[in-house]
Amino acid sequence: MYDVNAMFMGLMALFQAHTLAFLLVGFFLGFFVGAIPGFNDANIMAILLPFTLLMEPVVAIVCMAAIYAGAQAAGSIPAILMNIPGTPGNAATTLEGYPMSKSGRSGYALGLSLGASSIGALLGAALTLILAPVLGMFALRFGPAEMFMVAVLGLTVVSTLSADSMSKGLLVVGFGILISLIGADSMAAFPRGTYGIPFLYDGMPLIPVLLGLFGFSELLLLLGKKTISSEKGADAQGWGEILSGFKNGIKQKVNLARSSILGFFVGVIPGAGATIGSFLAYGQARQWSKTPEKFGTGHSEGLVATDSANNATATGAMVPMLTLGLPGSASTLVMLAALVLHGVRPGPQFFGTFQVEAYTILFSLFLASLLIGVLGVILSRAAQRVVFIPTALLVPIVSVLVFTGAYAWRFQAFDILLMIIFGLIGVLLRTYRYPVPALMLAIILGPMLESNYLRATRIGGLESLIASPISMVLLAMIIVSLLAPGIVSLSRRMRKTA
Amino acid sequence: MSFQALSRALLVPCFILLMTGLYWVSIQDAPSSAQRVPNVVMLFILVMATVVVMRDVVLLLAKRVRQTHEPLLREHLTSWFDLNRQRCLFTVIGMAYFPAFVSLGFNIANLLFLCLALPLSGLGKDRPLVARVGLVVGVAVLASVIFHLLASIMDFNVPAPLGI
Repeated sequence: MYDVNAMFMGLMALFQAHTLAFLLVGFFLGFFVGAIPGFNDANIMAILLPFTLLMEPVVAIVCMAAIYAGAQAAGSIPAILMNIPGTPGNAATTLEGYPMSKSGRSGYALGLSLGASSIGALLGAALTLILAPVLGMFALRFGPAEMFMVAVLGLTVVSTLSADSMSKGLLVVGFGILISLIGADSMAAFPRGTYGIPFLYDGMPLIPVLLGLFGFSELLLLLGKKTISSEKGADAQGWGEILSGFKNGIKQKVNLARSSILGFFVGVIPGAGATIGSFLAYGQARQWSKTPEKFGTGHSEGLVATDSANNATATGAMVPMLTLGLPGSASTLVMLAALVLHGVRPGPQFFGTFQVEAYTILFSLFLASLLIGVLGVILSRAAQRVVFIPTALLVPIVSVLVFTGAYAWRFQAFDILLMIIFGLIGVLLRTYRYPVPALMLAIILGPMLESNYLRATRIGGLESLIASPISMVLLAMIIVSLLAPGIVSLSRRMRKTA
Repeated sequence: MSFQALSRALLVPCFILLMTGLYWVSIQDAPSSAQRVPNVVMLFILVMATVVVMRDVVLLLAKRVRQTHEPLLREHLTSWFDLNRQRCLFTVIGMAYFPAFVSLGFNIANLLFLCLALPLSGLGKDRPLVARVGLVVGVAVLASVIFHLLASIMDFNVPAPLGI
């Protein structure tokens, strides 16, 4: 199963000057694109795809993988500094990262995030290297019933993260699922909730919705404030704070390991996505934390959990792509296309037929994780100055960026209007303390929930949803996640009165 | 319990229920397979909205929020608008970006939006009028050029100025 010779040849193929050069170029491109809200890595990968045909297959894929890794890590920068996730997987980063930024600790938050991202990517790459040859079969055991349960688990966890009450979280989750069901349904192609608007027939476009709920709503709420950072006398933090954040991030060994492993295995499930992984990790970190009451106020444990899981999920997503030919996202889809165009066909025989290429790709993920730590820290010192730019300048300029990002997803001007509408919905929810991340996750998971539910119940009825051991384990986790907050709060109250 | 406190508790659930109602109307002619999951979700929303409203009303009653003088709805709306004038105007400008983008193109829409949004957000508010106009136009032009270059590099296929 593990050919040491092939591993060595893969390593040699990676450490060629031109391969390393393209890895660096790819990482910079991905980092730059990931740090700009609304500009996603799949776009830049798709643009570069024709150019990669001129490269050797391994070089092309290494470049794509570096873009992918760079974008996942850099997506946390706007999430922390402006509450605008760079990628959907960074939605959970805003929960702790942005409060830290507002309190004048933006440098520390960036250091923490990059440290966690680096370790998460490293652990994810290590697990991919060790387990990829066998994990493909594990991923295949996730049928429609199991995928339905994964979606429900993700939604219950995120609803319990609601600051005010779980009922508000669940209400918003229901609303999000309904929004996600707008468009032609998969069975009869009946246009549900579209009211004749053709741009909604394919369903809700994710990036404009994400930009609206997080980006435009935040920009509206920033109007009237001088700068993002409300801390009096605060200034851009120096190397000391950034490195301190980085060191503290990598010191949280248990949290890192737990979140990265969880994120990795979520990434292995085809189509699960980084968003579920990071929210599940956040929920777990809160449950295991000795200070759960601090979550939501800028707690380092939460930020470490989300960002390590996000990056581990991204590397885990390479497993189904390489071993089964199943891309879980737009980015992995482009990578798959690049592989196929170069005659390197992913699938169950991938590690047998293309061993050298496989190990080169996996080792490139290791290198990319180190680049996250080194280059990310260097770039973040300049990046955090965004927090101190006057909002009079920042808000209009970032608005145009957000408009462009919304348009660039499908090249439909309608998406700009949609983004603004969701921005207003985001303002409404945030003003009345309803959880926006719960809405976003529900919109992402809704289609997966419906399609898998229909597929599972069509064959075996409702019982099929809990027929397999994996489904039953997931159901137990759902029940625990629903009851745990109530039990924990009750036991705390009893301890206080005792 | 004041009318405003009650309306604050009801606003979001009512909005969600209104949207749910609109969705329900739209799927009345849908085949049963297309209605199966949405029906369950809508029922779930109804139940959760009831729970949320009841919880909030109970909390309000427990707090015993009383106001000796409850402002008139008109007064309340006027003070809300005074507080949020900037945001409302910014939203209107943002909405106007959409038709400008479609009819005038990416570059002109950006320029116009920035020329309106920058002074609205307070750029150069302490400067004399001429200096302020110069600053706003200068920043708007520079930003528009940068966005044009970015869109070209990223091959965003944005609408050309005036459709040319």
